[in-house]
Amino acid sequence: MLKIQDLHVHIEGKEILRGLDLELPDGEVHAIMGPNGSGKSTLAYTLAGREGYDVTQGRILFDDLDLTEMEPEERAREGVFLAFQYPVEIPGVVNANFLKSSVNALRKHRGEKELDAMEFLKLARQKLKLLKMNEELLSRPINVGFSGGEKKRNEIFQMGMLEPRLAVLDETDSGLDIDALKIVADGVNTLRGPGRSILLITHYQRLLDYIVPDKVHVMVAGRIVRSGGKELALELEARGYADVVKAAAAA
Amino acid sequence: MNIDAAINLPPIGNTPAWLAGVRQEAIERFRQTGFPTPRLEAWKFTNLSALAGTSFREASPAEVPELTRADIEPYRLTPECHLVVFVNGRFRADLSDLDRIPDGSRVVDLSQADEADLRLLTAVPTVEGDARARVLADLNTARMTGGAVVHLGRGAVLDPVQLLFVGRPEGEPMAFHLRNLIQAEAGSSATVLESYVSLGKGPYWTNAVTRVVVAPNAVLRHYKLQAEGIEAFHIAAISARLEQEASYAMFAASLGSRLARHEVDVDLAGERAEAKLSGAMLGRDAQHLDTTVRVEHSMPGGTSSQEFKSVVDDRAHTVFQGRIHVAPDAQKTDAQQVNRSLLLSPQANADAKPELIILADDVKCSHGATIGDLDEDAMFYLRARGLDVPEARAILIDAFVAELIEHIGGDEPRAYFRRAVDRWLAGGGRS
Amino acid sequence: MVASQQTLETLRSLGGEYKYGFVTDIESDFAPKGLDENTVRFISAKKGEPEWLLEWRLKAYRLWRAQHDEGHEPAWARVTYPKIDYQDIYYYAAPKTKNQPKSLDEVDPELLKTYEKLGIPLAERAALAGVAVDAVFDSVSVATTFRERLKELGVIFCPISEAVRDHPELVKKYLGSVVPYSDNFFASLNSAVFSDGSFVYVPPGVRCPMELSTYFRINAKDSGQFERTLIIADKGAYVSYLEGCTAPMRDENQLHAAVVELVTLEDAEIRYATVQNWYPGDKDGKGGIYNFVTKRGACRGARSQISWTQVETGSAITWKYPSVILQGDDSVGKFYSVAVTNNHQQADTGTKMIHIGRNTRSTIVSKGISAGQGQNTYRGLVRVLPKAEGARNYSQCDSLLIGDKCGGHTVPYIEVKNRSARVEHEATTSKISDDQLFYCRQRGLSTEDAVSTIVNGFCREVLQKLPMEFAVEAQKLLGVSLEGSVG
Repeated sequence: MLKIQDLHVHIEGKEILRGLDLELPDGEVHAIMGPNGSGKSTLAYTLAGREGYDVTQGRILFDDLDLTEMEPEERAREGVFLAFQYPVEIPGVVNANFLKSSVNALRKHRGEKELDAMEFLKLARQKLKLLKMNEELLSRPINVGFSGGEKKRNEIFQMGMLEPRLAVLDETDSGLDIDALKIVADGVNTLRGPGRSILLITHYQRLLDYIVPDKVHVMVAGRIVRSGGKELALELEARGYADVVKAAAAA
Repeated sequence: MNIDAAINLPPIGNTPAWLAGVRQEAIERFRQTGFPTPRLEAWKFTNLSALAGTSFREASPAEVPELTRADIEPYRLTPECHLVVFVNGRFRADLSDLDRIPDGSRVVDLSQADEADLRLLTAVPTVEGDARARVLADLNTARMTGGAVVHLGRGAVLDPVQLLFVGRPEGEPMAFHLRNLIQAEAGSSATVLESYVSLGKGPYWTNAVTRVVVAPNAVLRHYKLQAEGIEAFHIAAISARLEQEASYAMFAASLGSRLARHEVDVDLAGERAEAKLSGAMLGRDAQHLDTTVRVEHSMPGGTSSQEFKSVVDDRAHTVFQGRIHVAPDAQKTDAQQVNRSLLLSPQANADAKPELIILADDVKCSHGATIGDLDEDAMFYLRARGLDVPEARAILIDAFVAELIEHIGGDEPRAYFRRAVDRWLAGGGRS
Repeated sequence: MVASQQTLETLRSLGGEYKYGFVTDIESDFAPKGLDENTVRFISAKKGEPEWLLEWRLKAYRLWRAQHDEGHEPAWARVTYPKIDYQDIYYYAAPKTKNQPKSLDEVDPELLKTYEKLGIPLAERAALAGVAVDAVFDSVSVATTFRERLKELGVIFCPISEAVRDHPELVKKYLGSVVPYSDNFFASLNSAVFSDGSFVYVPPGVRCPMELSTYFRINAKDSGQFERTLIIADKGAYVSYLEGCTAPMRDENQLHAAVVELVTLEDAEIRYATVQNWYPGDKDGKGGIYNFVTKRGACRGARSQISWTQVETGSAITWKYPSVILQGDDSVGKFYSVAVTNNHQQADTGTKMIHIGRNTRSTIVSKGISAGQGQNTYRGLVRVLPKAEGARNYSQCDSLLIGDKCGGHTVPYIEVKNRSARVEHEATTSKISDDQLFYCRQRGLSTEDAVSTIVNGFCREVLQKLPMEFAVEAQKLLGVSLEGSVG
């Protein structure tokens, strides 16, 4: 599904990703862990195509597509979804209206019939029920006045609506208390399955208690330095990042 | 007033020919326009007819009021500060204290200004404005008789310097045309305090023009206390030009005069310059106090803030006009402005015109203005804690002004303004 | 609430090009070009007006003439335009008909076709859409639909020229009582030469059951449009009024100097909404309407309310300040505005809230959007007079800038002469943030859709004040107006 080959990314001339390789097969959930400043969020933004994240070498393959040079909305329409670490507030834009435009932009791209207001509302209610979220979410302006937990929940709800083939969750656990974390994790677990790959970016092992990954990768200084099963996360939790950082520096 | 008298220009040092020309042109402009009227947008809220209707005489150089250091001691910032004193518009070496100015810096009277100083002093202000609204500065150009020239050398530190302007009315009303220059060279740092006070009763007119230039990386804290007598007219125009990464803080307390206008133009003419402007107008009786601020962001990356408050009692009237202008190339500008007015009596009134003129898109600009009485909830809260109405009011008014005073840099200036405000709150404050 | 579906379609101009740029080929009845006392007499005579109105017009004309000759055209607004040659304008242009039409069947089919193109519910469809429309074509009212039903309720809704004839006492009492002919240069001009407009009177206690709507169109070349609207809501009455405007594409600038007067008596309410989409000129600033309009309401009675809601996307230059004089105690004034300037458009618009009565309240919400080389100024006045005990005002003025060649300006005047008043004003200026744009694009929206979505969100508070279908159209208009603004 997703294949990243020798990815080098510069931000304002500074190299952040330095030859990153990663393979995420169809239907799997992989976690990327790493210390602060290792380039995890850069990877998330680069996958989504944010301006200012210059790919200087390597490429990002998504099935048969080369994402590397594509516009953010083209990637989104191909099924790439980014759950933002800091979802932005957009005053006055009601979630439901926004999502309807968004869902229809994707449907149109796939050659499907666009949803009218009633069909959209029906779908939205189904998803909210599935994710055990409140319908009130629909009528509020995007993220305005939301608590940290509400913002993250809204991201998961949007993911549910857009049914991406690749979801990148950037530190979705940060700033959440345990109850909020469970709700978000339940949501993600509900949405995982065949046809959808998920990349979890996280600093802490905590999230992985609730979303059990198929694989864990450790990222240091813009590269994957170790990969393993879910037990790798526990090891990192117990011993910290110091060892892997040292090993990476030695390598 | 008799404008023709202005043809006999008072000499400054050995007035160079170009300066005589500049002064002649200035008086021509004044003669053509006359005193500004509310028909001019910049003077919409302030009517100068009382000023224009008073006839003022020129203080003759021979008149030297008898004053001692003890007379001016109460107005001094600290006993140790560098001090330059002007009485009735003229420099008084006998009252000044300028012995300890460090090498490389200079504090002198206008009569000793050199050619470069005079050029800076008479340059056309770079902040855009209606020339017809600036004719009182033109009149000043034509008739200036004294003022402080403060020159800070590269990297110099001068902290603090006080410019003390004393009005000593005698006989027919007099007009004092003061011209000051504060020039801070690269990397220098200084605190300059202008104090305007009266010794004695009676009408007179202070017409002060102050030019400020802050060179790259220099830091200037510029403070002003206007506590002139209740019959005085006070018109002051400060025009500052900030170069790259210069930092300029200006605080003014305006509590004296029957009619006062404090006008500040700041041009952020270098990249990443910073201006922090604030002020308090405290008005009572039938005072008319006006603060007019124009901030021009000419270059990118500048930061400016304006915080102006007025407390208006009795039949007093305060005016705040504040403009933020962001030029087309001044991207990444951050400009904020706040104006709050507190009306304490049924006849008090306040006008505000906060203005944003924005011609660059990548900016953060905002302004807010409120006018009204003390907050009812706060009043209730204090009374619920056992304070009576006058006590509660006094506390809230004090707090309203104190917010500004607290931001003044330097313990001594802060204490100086604190005392001035306390005197006003206690019912006095004007000299 | 059934809204004016057809009127809405009028404003619909999807596809980016100005859609109402066609010219109707119709024989027009012109007054000779230029303006003198004879022009005024001609117009008055055409209308068969009583002597008092002609006198009033002439007084207005003389005052205007004097101001004009002394060069006292208003110059304080932040707009620039070449000097207008007032002698090069037709002040009266009417579609030629042998006789006044008595029913729609008698209206020139060419004209009806025009309205059909514009989507105006002129015929029986109007009844279904539930909207009463007074259509003003160049200078005269062509037909007023739906009048019968209103008549049953005692609501008068007709061309003002007809009101002069049929309800002279009302017209005489209120015309010029809110905007006197001496008010300003353009109001004087309008008072002298106004040829038509709408008149509404809602009798005591009546809630007008449908939206009343006027549709304005400038067609004839070199003609100005000077309509005059007068709306009176008597004690306890309520009416909601919608106004829409278009004009053909012409290279020359055309002048539109309208006057709108609103009066509310005790407990009455008028809601006045405008969607202004006059031709804005082309990408290089050629052509377009000069929209110099005086709109003012007087809350004469206690507890009465007036609200102005405007969405201004058209015109080369917009100069208008819909205002409220809050005379009655506890009266309420509101102003909600969206103004868009793109390409070379200029707008200087805002409001005046004059607090005279006790406990009067006003709210101002202004959203200015500038793109291209557009210049957008909010100019407003909040004045609290000494007797306005307990007056309250809240103003929020936000500017959004798209691109680095445009300008957004805020010039509020606040004058408070009563201690118990509370006046609050806030304003911000910013651009659309990169974060917001990226967020929308990550969710699959194109850059243009993202901008349109964010802009609509920015304006939501105002758009919500419009009747729903009108709001939907206004949203689309916003998107269209900003097309091409993001590179």
